[in-house]
Amino acid sequence: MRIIVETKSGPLDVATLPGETILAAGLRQGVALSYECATGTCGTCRARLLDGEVDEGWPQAPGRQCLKQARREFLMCQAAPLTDCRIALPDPLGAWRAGAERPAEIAARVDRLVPLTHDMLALSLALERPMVFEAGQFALLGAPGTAGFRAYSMANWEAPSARLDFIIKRKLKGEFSDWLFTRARQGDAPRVFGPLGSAVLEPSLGHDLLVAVGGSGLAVALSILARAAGEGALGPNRARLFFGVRTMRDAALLEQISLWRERFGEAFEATVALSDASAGAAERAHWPALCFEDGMVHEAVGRGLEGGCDNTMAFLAGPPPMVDATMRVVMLKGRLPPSRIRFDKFS
Amino acid sequence: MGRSMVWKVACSEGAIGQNDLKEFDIDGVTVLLARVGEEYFAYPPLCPHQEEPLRKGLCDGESITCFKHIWQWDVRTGACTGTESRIPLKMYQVRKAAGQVEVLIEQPLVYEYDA
Repeated sequence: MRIIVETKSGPLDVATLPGETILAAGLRQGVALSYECATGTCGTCRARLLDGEVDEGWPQAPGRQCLKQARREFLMCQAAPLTDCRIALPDPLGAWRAGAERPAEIAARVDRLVPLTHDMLALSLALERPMVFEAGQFALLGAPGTAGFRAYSMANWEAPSARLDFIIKRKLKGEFSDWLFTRARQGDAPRVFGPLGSAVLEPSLGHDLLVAVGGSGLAVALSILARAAGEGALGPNRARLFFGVRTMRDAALLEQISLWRERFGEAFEATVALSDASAGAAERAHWPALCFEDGMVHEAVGRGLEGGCDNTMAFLAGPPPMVDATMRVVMLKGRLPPSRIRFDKFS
Repeated sequence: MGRSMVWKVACSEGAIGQNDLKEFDIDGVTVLLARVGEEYFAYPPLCPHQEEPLRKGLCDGESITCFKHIWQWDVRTGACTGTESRIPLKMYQVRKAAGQVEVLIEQPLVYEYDA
């Protein structure tokens, strides 16, 4: 189908493949449409239908709450056109980041599946062709033979990369995680669309890093730290990781985090914030490179900011309440302006 | 019938904590009030970007920040201050009289969310 996108600077043409959403088609063709989650939750990609018909997709998409039916608004990340369409956008088109790879559907195979905790596993996909992505970006993953997608942040970084690593948390009634936890085998071919997302670590920033993540948001931290290390930024600049979990049984990849401390010494500090149950003496002794604190991750960040945070860039990833609470702390206590904050709210 | 242009009581002074953001229903018009020191400021309740309730955002005494996309404005003038925000906040006039905070509401201030 053919989509005409009306913008302030004139109309643009987008062609969709069968079943493809308008957002995916636009981004794939280099049109910098506004979006954030790309999976129906945030409502950022709303647009207005001027002519034509679309299949609006997931009826319960939380992002639909902000839509005005009277204005024929819909979510571009959910909608696939049924006819040729003409649409209008509420926001001016964004700018395509220089050098950014256009997202596309990429053939990939399951290479490794490793259990991390009682409800998380590490997934490594081997790509048919390498992808260039930024630390902090995500991809949409779908089980073979299904239509739905879920968004997962990459947990690795190299440029370009023939491999995508993810941390997947098991969801109740989650089509993709259900497939991954029960049926997926090495060599299976999930659907992959990416790279996506603008909460990225720009290279050569020259800032100290404060990375606060909750649960599977740890993936974002690993990707950002890998990039900072890859650029030689760790050492000249410090990185502080705050990892929020409920209990020690949710604390994945502590071994890998400990290795960062060994590798970068004082330039890297990691704090595990435990909201529901303290770490025992034996656990503390087992992970001497890590700090353990009781409480929510934003509280640990608040204490960590007491020594100041000049020249710091903050990356926040995790469930929306965790990100919002931490954003409040870094703005109030750290006095960080919005330009020094990147965030990714999972839902 | 248009609304008459009158000062209407939003709340008593002190009903809002320092640097708090609080919504009030004033004769059917929802208004967001911010308090900085002994000054009060009034705005429409939703972010001009994507209609996020600004009461869920942050006032630090200088700026108001919406947490949906960290759009930020000057608390006193409504002018965009962050790197992200592109639409200024509209504001109602506010005055204090006899221990009350009053807002001048001619008609509800709204943004053009239209695509």
